[in-house]
Amino acid sequence: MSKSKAYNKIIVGDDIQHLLVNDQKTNKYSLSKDPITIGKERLKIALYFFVFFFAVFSIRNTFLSVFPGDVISEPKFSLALSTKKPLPDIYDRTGKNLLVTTFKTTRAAVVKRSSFNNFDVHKAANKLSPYLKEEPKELLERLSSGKYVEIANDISEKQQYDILNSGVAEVEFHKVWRRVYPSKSLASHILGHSNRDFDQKSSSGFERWLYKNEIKNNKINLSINLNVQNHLENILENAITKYEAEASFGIVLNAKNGEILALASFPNFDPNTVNNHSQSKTANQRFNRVIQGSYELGSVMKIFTLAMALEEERINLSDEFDVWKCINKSRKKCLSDYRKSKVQYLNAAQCLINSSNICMAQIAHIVGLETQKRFLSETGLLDEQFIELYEMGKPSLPEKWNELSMEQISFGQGLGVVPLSFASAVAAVVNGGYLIEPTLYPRDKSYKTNAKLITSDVSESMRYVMREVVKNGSGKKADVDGYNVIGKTGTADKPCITGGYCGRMTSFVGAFPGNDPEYVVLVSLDNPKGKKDARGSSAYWNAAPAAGEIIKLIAPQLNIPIQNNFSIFQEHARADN
Amino acid sequence: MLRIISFFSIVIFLIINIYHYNVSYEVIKLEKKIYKIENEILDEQNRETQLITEWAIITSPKNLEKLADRYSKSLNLKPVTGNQILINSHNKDEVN
Repeated sequence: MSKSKAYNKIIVGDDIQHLLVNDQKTNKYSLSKDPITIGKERLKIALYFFVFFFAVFSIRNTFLSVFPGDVISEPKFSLALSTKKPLPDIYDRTGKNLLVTTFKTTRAAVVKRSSFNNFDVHKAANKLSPYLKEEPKELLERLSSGKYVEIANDISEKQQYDILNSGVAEVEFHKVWRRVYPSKSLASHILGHSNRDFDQKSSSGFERWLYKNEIKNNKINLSINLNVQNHLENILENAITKYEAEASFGIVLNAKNGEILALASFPNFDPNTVNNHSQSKTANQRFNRVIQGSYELGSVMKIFTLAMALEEERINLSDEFDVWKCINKSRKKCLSDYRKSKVQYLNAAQCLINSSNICMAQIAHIVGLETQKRFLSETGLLDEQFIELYEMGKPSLPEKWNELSMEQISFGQGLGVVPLSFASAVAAVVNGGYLIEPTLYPRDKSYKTNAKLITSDVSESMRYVMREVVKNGSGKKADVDGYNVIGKTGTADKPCITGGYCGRMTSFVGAFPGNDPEYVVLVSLDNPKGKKDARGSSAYWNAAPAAGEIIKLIAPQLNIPIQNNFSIFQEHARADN
Repeated sequence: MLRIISFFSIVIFLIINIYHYNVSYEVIKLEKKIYKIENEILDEQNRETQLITEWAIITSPKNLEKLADRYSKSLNLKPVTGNQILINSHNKDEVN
């Protein structure tokens, strides 16, 4: 204050008006601060700002150089994000390629930019139409519809080359991820298909599983064996033409650890082209009978009736039953057998070998309704099975599980089962009693479940009886030299949508090699007809020989040497006599 | 003193700006290079997958079957039978 002078009148800028001090005695004005001090103070403030910003700047710089990872952004021009494989490649267990993912030019579009004012639609349509296999008129209509017109979404390299050479400059090509199935329709019902946008709505099978579970591995090995799959499909396809069947399906399952080696359903589809057709048109081809369907498989279910009675120790294999007895509980007629037995009394083993309905109904009565329910639910036939596909079907249970349905179920009517569940339940009966869970992923050799369905003794007796079925019974045509095939045939009447029964469904479920089964095979034909070399339409004439052919071809492929020791069977046979 | 500090601050500020500009320019150049290289890699990968696909088609069981059928007479080919397989439990795992 001492340095400042007093003035009568003072003119200062607006910004320092408030610093003027008026001495009321002398009516003179003076500045409360020296202007130079004010300037210095302001510079200081500016300096503080600078220092502050530089401090922030240098601290940030230091951080950037010390921890660069978290702040470096994705490169602007990089394709890194868009070029990641959307789904993994799939291989079979032997390393054969089932599915390749390629990033290739498949989409072509005509883009009319403003710079191309002289774009001649007619000329372009005429030039492009031969390469797109489209009428020039239709193409012209499409081309004149907008500024960006996609002219093809699935073009080959050759087409691309031709279009480039045709001289239409407005065509642009886009690269898109494509899933290529090199084996075409082979294993189509396992792999399923995906469309070009990889949305799960229009995908199916294992593809959908990958998508939904966001599996991003680079490659995946499945438990499928492509050679086995091929043999299975060939024979099932032949069976359709040979026996004039409407459809057929089959499974090859590892009886010890539940790996699915092959799974086929006919008619099938080519996943490369299935998207070109409408969903409803290809519904029959897309339908995976093995996992989506539920069927009354008929006499093959008798395996469980016998196994259940043996496991509960209610009967012995040598117990005799009257097969001429009339069972007519709430029926108009007596229950009949497919082929009436020549002798009145059959023992339990012969009941299965001769496939007697009357006998099985009696066994079911001995065991009882509750036990049957419990045993079948233990096998997993009454529940939805889980494998790596989303389309799993549900078994169709009887509306009321009364004594009538108990009798029917004992010989395979009235209970619709999912074929895959059925095959895995049969595996449990023949593999020593261990319940297995089917899977599409390869499993370790050491895999073992502790859950037991039946004791190993019962399993052995079942193997003996099932061997007899193939050796001397209805499964004769499924026998393969040296592999002691065991199994059971089944011919079921197919329930109609309108009620009652129409047509037939024949099945053979078998396992090989007989003394220690490693693989279970299930073959079913929908409505086969008896013709020429197949004189009848029962499973004896079609499903059994088809299964035999499959086993004959795949057993060597699976490295199973022929076996000459029939020790178990011989012992049983001796005990029987 | 204040003047010197201000002067140096401004000089440093300018230097940093110029340096930053250069660095970002370099980065853009490098990114373009990456883009180019990634495209090349992609092309190579595509060529590879193309070959893999072709190989898979050629060696698919259906194709091999056709070939086997065609030459079965002249080469005396027959399906493998169980008699030809001799494995004991020791080397079974290796074969599978």
